[in-house]
Amino acid sequence: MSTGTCRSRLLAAALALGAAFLPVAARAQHLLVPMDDAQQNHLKAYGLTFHTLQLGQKAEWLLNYRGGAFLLPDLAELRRSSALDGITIEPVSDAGVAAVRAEMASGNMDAIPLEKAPKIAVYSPPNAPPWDDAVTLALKYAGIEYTRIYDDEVEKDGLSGYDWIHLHHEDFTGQLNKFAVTYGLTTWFQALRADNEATAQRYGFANIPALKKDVAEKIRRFVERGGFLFAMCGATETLELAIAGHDVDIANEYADGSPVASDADARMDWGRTMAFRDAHVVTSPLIGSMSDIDGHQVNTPGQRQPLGQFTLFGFAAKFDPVASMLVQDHQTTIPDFYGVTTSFTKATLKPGVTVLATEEGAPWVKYIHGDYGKGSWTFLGGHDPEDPQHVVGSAPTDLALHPNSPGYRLILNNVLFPAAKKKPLKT
Amino acid sequence: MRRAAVAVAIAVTFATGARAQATFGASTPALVRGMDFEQRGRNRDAVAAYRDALRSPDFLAALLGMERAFAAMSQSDSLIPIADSVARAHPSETLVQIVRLRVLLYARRPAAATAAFTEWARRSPKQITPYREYARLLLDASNLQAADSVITAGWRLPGGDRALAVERARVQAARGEWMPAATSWRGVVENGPQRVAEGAFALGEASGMARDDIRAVLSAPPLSAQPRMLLAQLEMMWGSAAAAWSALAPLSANASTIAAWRDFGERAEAGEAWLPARDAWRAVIAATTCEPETALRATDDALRGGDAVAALAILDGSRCASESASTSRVATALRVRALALAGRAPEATAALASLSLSDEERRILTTDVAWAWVRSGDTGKARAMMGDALEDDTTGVRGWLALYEGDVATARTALRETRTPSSDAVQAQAIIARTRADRAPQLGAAFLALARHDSAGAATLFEAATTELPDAASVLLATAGEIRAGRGDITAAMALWRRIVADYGGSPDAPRAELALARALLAKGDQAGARAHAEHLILTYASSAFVPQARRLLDTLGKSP
Repeated sequence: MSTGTCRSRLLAAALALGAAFLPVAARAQHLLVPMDDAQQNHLKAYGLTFHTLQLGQKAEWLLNYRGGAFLLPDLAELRRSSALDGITIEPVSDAGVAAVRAEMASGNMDAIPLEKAPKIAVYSPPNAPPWDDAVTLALKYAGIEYTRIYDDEVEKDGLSGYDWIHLHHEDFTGQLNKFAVTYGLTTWFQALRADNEATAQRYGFANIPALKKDVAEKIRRFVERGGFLFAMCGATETLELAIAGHDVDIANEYADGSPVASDADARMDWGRTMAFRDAHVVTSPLIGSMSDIDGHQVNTPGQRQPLGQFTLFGFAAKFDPVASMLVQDHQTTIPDFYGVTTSFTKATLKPGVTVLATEEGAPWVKYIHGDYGKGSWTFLGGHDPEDPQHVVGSAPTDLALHPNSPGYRLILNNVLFPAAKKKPLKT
Repeated sequence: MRRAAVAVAIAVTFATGARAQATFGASTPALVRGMDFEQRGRNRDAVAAYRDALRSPDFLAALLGMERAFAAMSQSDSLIPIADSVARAHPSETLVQIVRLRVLLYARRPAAATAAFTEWARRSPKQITPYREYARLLLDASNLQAADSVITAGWRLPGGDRALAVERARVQAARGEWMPAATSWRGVVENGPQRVAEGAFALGEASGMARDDIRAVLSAPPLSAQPRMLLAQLEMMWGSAAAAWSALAPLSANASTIAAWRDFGERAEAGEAWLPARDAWRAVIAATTCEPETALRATDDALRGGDAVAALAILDGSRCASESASTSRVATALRVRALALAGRAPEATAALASLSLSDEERRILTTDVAWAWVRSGDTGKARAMMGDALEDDTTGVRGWLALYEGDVATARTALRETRTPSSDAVQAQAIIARTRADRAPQLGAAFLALARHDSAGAATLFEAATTELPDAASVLLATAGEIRAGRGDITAAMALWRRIVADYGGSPDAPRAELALARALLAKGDQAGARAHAEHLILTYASSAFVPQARRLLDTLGKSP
């Protein structure tokens, strides 16, 4: 979200000029990592900032300044990393930084201190099925460390050791995304089902839906106690369904041996959920949709909606820093991309949910955020920002070909957001 | 898009219009008048005439004519009330209903089109036609969601699954649901071989692992000819003639298979995939009585693909190729080339002597045989073979002979004048451009060893030539390294690359050597070593074209420990 003015551009030019005249061995006091179109590799820039925090150094996130630039200390190691990764940096003196701050004070910009590299966990099966997790791809490409966890780790209360958890493609209703009809005979699906059934047995659950509901409950408690949750694709919708349907049978007979409760819709407890309310549960095992939360219904014949483009909202950096952090980008309009859950219908959003991105004129939104208990959550619809039509079995996205992906930046905004020093909201 | 749709409509129109005329015999004067106006570009008058003809038995042709004329005037909307009225007057005429739907869709009135379709379907219960025709129109308009809904509805009718199989397959492919699409297209082509090209067009868009899924579906047992032909067409579209031939090769020979092999041979030749083409023609030869032309074609393809052994085997196995005088002469000429390519210079010379040839034919074959002498290590015989023709040679022989004999000055000029330089010639020029020396016997010996397929000797000689040509030392070491690596002697290659990086760090060959070194270390499992060289390359040669490749290598290694 760059609000760069003519003045900021002149300043940037002046800083760049200064950098050009610096002798190679000379050190400025700071490194400015621009995140506007001047940046050669936006995604790795997040990794560089994360690495700075890992070194025990402080960093600043300059919200709305040059696409959400980062200000890092001028360390030889960071210069070296940026050269190796092809990240654009601009050495800046203390005087230069003072000029930047003066510029920021005059507009809708603010500097957020980043203090501590968050401990990150990605919830994903140990033997990855034939689809990719955009977050894992982004973290790997940016060089950000994370731990892969799955049901075993969650059931052993492994979540308490992490600041940030990511969910992607998981079906927390325990119906394995209703893939049984299409992919039931494939080896990968059978292995996935067998693994999940074994885990359920190991922890004394009767079936996969019971296991997944319990995992969903533990994730809910993680957020309630102050954790950060970022979810994409089908995990957004099914996590909420599993939480609301904690005491209702919403899984088909093939998954748990009993039919879906006939009054499932009426018995859902939406008071426990984070983002959604009053959704209608799709009970047919033959329809690859879970509920009417998703606006695009990619797997429902006759209801699938075409892809458009979504627009990021602007927020007041000084008054709404969290939302501002989550929408920092060098492009505000981004082509949409499908997922098992692509978007969220406005009618099913709870009051108080912050909409971060929406498609103009559509009855759905793309990117939402909210607080829950002491923690917070962010949901982004869709599977892979650089593979809009992604289907099971598609080749993994090679991020080296998309180093400036505006969609992937949204994911990495969420990774750095928990590193921000808590600032009380002024609103 | 709209223009394309109109073009399709018009094409359909002409075909259908012709049919209507044939049905009704002599056309009404109004229709003839309308066609005449239309042909002269007087579309407004054509519309008036066609309007008169709507009341005649030629109403179908008249309606289609109006559709064309209105489209030409960009007034397709004007046809809507007329199509509605004709549809009411002739509710059972399929073509009228299609025109009505088409014009509504092109006018971007989807609700009205849906209503018209619903009315048609209601009036024709248990008939698939409304569903199929409307689905096709929606597909042509890229409205996949609506097409899918119509197909799903029609699918429930008796026979709907078979009648709408093509449309469903098209929708699945357009949505990128490749595995179901491949399964559907397999069924479609098994029931309708004429659909192979359409299936290939639909599935050809797949990429990455989706292609493997499609391959698995189409090549799954039981072995079936049409799916294999579809797979072969796809492989050709995806750029691998060899894979395409692998799809066709297992089919048992019959008339349609042989026709498919012939068709493949033609396509492979057009794409200069000589060896798959050779295999296709060989399969045809094995399945038919002797065809001299086919045998000669297979031999020529083998030679163009550099397979002299197969070329000679085809000639030896197809005696009928020498039955007539004309084919016999061509067969002998091909044999000369095959022997030359195989390095059997004395036999090639003898075979050439027995041929009666035009001057141009003899010049071409003489050059081939001269090369055979070079390959056998006898540059003197090669010179003698070329004789006076050597002075005027523009094929590169003169330059190469000079280079082999260490005459760098002549080689530099003659290779530059080569009419169509080969990649070898370009590489040789790149090396000799790096030195100011005019004579370099060791360099010549190195190139001659390469020509004789003595790569080990060539690598040693290139390395030794660094003493003779110190100004080109780094490129000579790099060439030796490439040859060593090509032979699988990675340890020796790595020693050469290390030498370039250490002793010739400022040369243009250094970043390439460093990248090769990093890759070789990675292949050996030495990640730390690979990382060190990739990082050194990026930091030392920041503007080198190899930096992005070094970064990619670092990406595969992940974050440094």
